[in-house]
Amino acid sequence: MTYRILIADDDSMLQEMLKAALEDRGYVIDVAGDGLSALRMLKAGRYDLALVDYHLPEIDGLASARVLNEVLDDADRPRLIAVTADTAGLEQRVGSNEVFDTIVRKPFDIRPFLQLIDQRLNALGSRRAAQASTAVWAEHSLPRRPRAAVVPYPTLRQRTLLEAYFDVTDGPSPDLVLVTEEKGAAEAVALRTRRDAATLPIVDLTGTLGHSADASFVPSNLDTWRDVATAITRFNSRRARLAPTTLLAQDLETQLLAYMFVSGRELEPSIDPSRRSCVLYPGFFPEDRVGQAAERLVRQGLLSKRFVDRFHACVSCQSHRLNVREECPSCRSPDLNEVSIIHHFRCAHQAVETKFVQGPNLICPKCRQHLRHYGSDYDRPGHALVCNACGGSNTEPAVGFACLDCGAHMNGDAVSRRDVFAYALTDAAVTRLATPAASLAPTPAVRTVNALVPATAPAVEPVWKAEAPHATPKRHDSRDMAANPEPPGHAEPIYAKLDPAAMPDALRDELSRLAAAGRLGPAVIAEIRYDARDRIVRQRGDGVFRGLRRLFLENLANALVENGTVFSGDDADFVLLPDLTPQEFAEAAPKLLAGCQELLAQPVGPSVRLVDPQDLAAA
Amino acid sequence: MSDLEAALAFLLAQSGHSIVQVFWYTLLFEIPHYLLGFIAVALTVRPPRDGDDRAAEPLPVRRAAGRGAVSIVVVGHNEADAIERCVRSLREQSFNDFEIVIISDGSSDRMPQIAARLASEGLVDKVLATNLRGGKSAGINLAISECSGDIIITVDCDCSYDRFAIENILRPFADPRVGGVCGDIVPRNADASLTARFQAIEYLITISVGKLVGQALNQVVCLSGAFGAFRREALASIGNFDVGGGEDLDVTLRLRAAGWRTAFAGDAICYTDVPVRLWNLVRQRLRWERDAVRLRYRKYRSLLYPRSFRFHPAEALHQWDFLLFSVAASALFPIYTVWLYVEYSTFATVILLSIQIGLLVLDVATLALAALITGRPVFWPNLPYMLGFSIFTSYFMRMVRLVAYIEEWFLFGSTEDNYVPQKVRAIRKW
Repeated sequence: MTYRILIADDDSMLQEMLKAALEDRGYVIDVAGDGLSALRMLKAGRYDLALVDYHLPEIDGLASARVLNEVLDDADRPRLIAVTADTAGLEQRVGSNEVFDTIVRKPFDIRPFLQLIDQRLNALGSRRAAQASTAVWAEHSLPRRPRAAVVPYPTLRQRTLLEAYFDVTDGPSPDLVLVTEEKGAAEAVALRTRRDAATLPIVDLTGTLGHSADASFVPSNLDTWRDVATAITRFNSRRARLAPTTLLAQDLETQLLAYMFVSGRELEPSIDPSRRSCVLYPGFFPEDRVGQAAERLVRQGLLSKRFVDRFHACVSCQSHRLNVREECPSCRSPDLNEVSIIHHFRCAHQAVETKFVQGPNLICPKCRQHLRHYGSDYDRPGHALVCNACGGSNTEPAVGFACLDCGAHMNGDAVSRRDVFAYALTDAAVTRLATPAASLAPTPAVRTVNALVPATAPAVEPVWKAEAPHATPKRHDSRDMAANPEPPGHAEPIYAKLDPAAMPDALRDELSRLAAAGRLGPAVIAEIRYDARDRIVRQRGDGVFRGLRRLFLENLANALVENGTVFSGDDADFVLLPDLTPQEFAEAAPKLLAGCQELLAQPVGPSVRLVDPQDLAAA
Repeated sequence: MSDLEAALAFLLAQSGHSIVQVFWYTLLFEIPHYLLGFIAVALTVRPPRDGDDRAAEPLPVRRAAGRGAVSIVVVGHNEADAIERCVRSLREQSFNDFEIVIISDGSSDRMPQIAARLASEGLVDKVLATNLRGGKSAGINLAISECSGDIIITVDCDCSYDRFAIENILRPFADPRVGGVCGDIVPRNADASLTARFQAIEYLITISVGKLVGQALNQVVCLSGAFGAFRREALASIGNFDVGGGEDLDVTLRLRAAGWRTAFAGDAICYTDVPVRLWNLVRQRLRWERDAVRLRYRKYRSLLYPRSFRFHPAEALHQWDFLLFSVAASALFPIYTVWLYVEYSTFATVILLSIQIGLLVLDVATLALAALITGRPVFWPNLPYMLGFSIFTSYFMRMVRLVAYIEEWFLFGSTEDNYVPQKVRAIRKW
């Protein structure tokens, strides 16, 4: 990009010197000798930068700059650098700091001065490009420039360049991952298996990753902008349908499922001779594990598979890069030469052609007759492959394989075969992913109950409902939280009477264990009942309700992880939170319960009562 | 007095001189062979030995680092069904230091593919397949040019082999004069039909015993194509195999004419399937006998004449033997029968019957001898069939031979034999 600079200075020596130096750097330079003409030129022409002397004839530099600020829009106004020997005087003038970007004191070293100008103009260029790219992204329905994590970690210069198109971030929730160099592919694999990165689109800037990446980006190709925007939109919208546990899953199987769900892609292998396996699955998952993980998911009914290709594998290094050769069955040399067999009818001599050839003649080595008449004297009934290494002859060559990676040799029948499949999500997998119980493995990463609940989770009524007090409240009144305008955090703990017979044995055992260990202090025990139970059973049957209840409890267990344990009973279920106070639980409960039933096909209407531990101890 | 009683009275009344007058055919053409056989066996018979004894004797072959001292060549045309069993039976041998070369002679079935698979399994060393049939001799010659053994053993695809067969067929080569050895051929489908059973008995008498007699008299004159072993040097001296058919007899005659001895290894046993149906047997024998006549009395007739440069008493002996006891005997038998009826009218039947009884006794004695010298349980299973066998060979097989001799002698029947491909017959009548 060519930048245009105005030099407004009455010192002709300085004018010439700066002009020459800046023109050398490729800038277009105009010169003004006084404030008035400088103002006129700045107003008329589009300048990117003006170097303004403070003490100019006619109108001084500061005044000119102020006028310019008034009359020009921000977008048209050039960056202003004051160049003056009287920096003190200028700085004393009110507002000089706001008008000028920088004040440079005369005399100055030309080298740092030129660097300063370069830097300012580059920043300007980046800003302008960023503004332009924001506009292009907006055309493709993205409200802002996509936040991009970059692998490998960008140099300052790369970052500046990328900033023109993306909002380069090191923060926690990027919209995409950019791969800027081929060596970044390995980092992308490491990144992919990191928590929460499994569902990000990986965008190729190298132009070499092809099928593995979810999109590729070439700034000059507007179609690729569209592709990237489409990928981001698709990933975002589908990610919203995934359960939080799935998004945060750390096991490869769940990550694969999540990626396939958000990307909408099959795990279709592409042929890549640069790899030992010759096969590359998309998505930047660990090459050595992705196939096995997919097979496990096939066994679980979550992926379906389709045959794509068959490879032969080296017996020693498992490489698929093999040289297939026709070989001598005896010595395994590929140095075979095909010669015909000649049959001399008269004397029944039959041998390879080389034994008959003498100069231009065919002479039978047995009876010394010249073979002249094809079909009457002799014919060529077949051919033999003569091995130049061992001299043996055979009609059929053997097939052998030589490994291009380790050099091992295998006979055709000893080599093992490897089938390569493409994998697609099954309906069962889609159903499972769309429910919160998606994680196929425990996710110990979730530490607090609140962490799981989306900030936007709508309140579900009733989320924290107390029953009417039983016959004789022992120590506390029970209050209906739905009727109480006080926030739950300030509520008194609400205890409910418990029928000891309804308590699951597992909970009873756990309580005795904790009591024996002396850890039954501030423990919270909550009973969960389901208000929607009767309605769901009536409308859709008991089986559906039981399924929903099971999923709800799974979600709850996943959400609590180490903080508590869920026990399922007959009529009611229970939660034991050994280290939580009733107040803490009351604060977290609404969001927790909302989150756990949010993604169910139908809300189960959980209503929670606290059980007095001492009551239990007595029981 | 019935005719039968009268006939018996007539037979019992015969003096030494008149017996010769009545039974001249039998006394001239049949008794000598039996007697010769018994005498030869009595002089040379040894009790059968088992594998342990054999192991003590070193084999007369150069033990190469790899395979190579012995080559087995298997030449076949459309033998896809048989080749694998044949090869696997060969690889079961007590002596296994040999290479196997398979020639598929213009097969149109899957024989080349199966042979190639056997090669890939390491059971076979070389496989060559031609697209055009060249005949067995050409196939064997191709194999000889490709194999490396000092001893070359030819086997048939449809045969299988006793565990010690290869080891035993190699032993006679200890004598450096021996150029070729043949093994014993035993039908393995004797139970398939009466025809097969008769052939089993016939093989036992003519090969197991007959060749042993030949061995004693240096008269092993046909190294059977189903299981023959040759010294490479001997084959080279006669230009390997010549155009067939009867290439086994041909090569044997030439080896002997070239001064090589031929031997029989009775304990090297090759099992084969013989024709089950009578017509197939007849066709096979017509072909064999035509070839025998063609080779003996056209191609190598000079062996008969004392003045020929090829003359050798041992060769002249088997030539005259065959001419007398096979050709002349077959030709005279109908004449003798007619003469009997003319001379003795109704007594002729009784005379023929009495001849048959006499031959039966001799055949049973030969069977017992075969059981003794082979050590195989062949006596009792075959005994019930001996009467049938005796009549079968005397009347039926003798007639088949006669037909073959007439066909060859007067009609050159062997030139039309498809055993040799047309392209070769066109250029080599015999």
